[in-house]
Amino acid sequence: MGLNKLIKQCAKNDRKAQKEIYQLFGDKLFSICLKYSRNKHEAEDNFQDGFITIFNKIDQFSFKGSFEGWLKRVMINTILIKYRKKNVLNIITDEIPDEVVVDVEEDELSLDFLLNLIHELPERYRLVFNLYVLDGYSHREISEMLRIAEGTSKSNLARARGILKQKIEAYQQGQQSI
Amino acid sequence: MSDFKNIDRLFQEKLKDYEVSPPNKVWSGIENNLTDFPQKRRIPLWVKFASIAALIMLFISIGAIYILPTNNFTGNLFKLPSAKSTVANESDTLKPFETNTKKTIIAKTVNHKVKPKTITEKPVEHNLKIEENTNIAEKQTTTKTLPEYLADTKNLPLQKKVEKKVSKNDLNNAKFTVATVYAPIYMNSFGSGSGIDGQFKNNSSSGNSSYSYGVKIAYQLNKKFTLQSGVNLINLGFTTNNVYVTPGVTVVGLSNILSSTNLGKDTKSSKELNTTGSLNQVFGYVEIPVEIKYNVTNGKFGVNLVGGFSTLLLNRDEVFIETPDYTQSLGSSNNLRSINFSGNIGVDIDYLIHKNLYLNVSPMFKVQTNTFSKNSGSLLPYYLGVYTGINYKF
Repeated sequence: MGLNKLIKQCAKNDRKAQKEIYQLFGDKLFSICLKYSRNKHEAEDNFQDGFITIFNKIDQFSFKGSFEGWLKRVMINTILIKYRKKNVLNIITDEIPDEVVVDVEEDELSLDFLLNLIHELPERYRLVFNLYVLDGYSHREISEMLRIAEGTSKSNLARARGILKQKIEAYQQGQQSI
Repeated sequence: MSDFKNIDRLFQEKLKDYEVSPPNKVWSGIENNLTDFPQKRRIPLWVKFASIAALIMLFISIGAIYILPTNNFTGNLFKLPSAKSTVANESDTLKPFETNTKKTIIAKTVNHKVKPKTITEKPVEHNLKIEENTNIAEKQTTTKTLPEYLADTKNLPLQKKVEKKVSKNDLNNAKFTVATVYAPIYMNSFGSGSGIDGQFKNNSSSGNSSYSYGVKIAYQLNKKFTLQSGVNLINLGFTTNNVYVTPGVTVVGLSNILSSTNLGKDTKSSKELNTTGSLNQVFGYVEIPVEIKYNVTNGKFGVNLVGGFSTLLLNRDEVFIETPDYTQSLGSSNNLRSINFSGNIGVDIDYLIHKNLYLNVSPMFKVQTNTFSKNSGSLLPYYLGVYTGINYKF
């Protein structure tokens, strides 16, 4: 069955087609959830909610552009809406730091270790870092998605980078001293 | 071996091909939620109007029960509870419609708010990207269509849907249907009694076969729903059996017959003299149905479900006595309401003959609400008709 036909079947709430879409794209979308969420447990919740949203809105996919891109956007947006609701507090409005390039010494840093670092970031920093660095959104886009100022997005990113660098360096020093 | 690396690139490279399978239990969670929340159905504005129309009809019918022929309610008590129960059912069915309509309106206003935003932003920020094309890289598609999704996942896909709908409608603009209708009618009733006189309420009664004809117009509201109305003439007949007739002499005045002649009730003493006959109450209506048709399957055979109301205006009313030897008119009855209503339910099957022409067969079941004003026992007439006709769509 072609993808387009599968999508149309999904729009008719056909359970088999829905499962097929889930099997085709589940892994990719779940990895997005793991990156954007605070931990594995939340990732699973978000993943489930995101997929329900996807199947409820699949009839709105216009067959223009990439379906996978559409899936990703719906998934990311579902997660953002969730965290945006929780994030009422927004006091950090400091000066905008310059876009500093943060270099770290690349060691054999495992994927799990890096993912864990992302999970440990404060909520907003984690979202901004994911959106900007991993999914290529601009600060202006992020500012609209998260309903924050563009400057806030920039400073959040800089702080996220700072924290990550610090943690990587601390880890590396720990490794060397052993 | 280690070298310095931009922290962004470090994460990008490591997480680029990162894929993890979700645990198996998640799918069952999704599946359960999907059964709980089936496809959202947007119920458009017309439902509001249809419900208002239905409500008005309902008020008229309730009003008619109390206002039209006002005499002799005691003989007629059974009607009050039956009328009440229709009211209760009706409000039950209307409720979900109303709430849904509200939702749609909210969704629509949000949608409008977002629209101008996309229009103003696109040319400024994304001009260049639009010139390039979709399939170069996913990131580009992402950024290009991004403003559309910024506000909420909910808003913008909805907008696309609206556009899609419009274009579909443009293609398929056969919205009106006119049709001729002819139907053989089989009538009978719930409950027992006679429409002619209280004294016959224990006699057996039966409906007569008759016919109905008229025209129908229908307007297609959307892919699934069609609103239809029309004008039909319908003749109904009701027979009260086992009536003994004494020729020549006026024996009993029948309360619901204006000019009564020679009728007698079944009594042992008169049996030998009399002939057995039946009383035929024949009445005709101009029927104005208002019905909603829901499309189940499309194609060469289209199957639809139909439900609605009819307003029935009395235009013929006569009572005959029929014996094996002769038939005689007794005059008209005075207990038929000049307006009454019926609830209609049925199936409608279309068969495409040629281009815009359809053959249509529609078995309908109609129950009248307040046919008689008094003295009729618990008689609640219903009729079954197989409405056939030729439809022309334009």
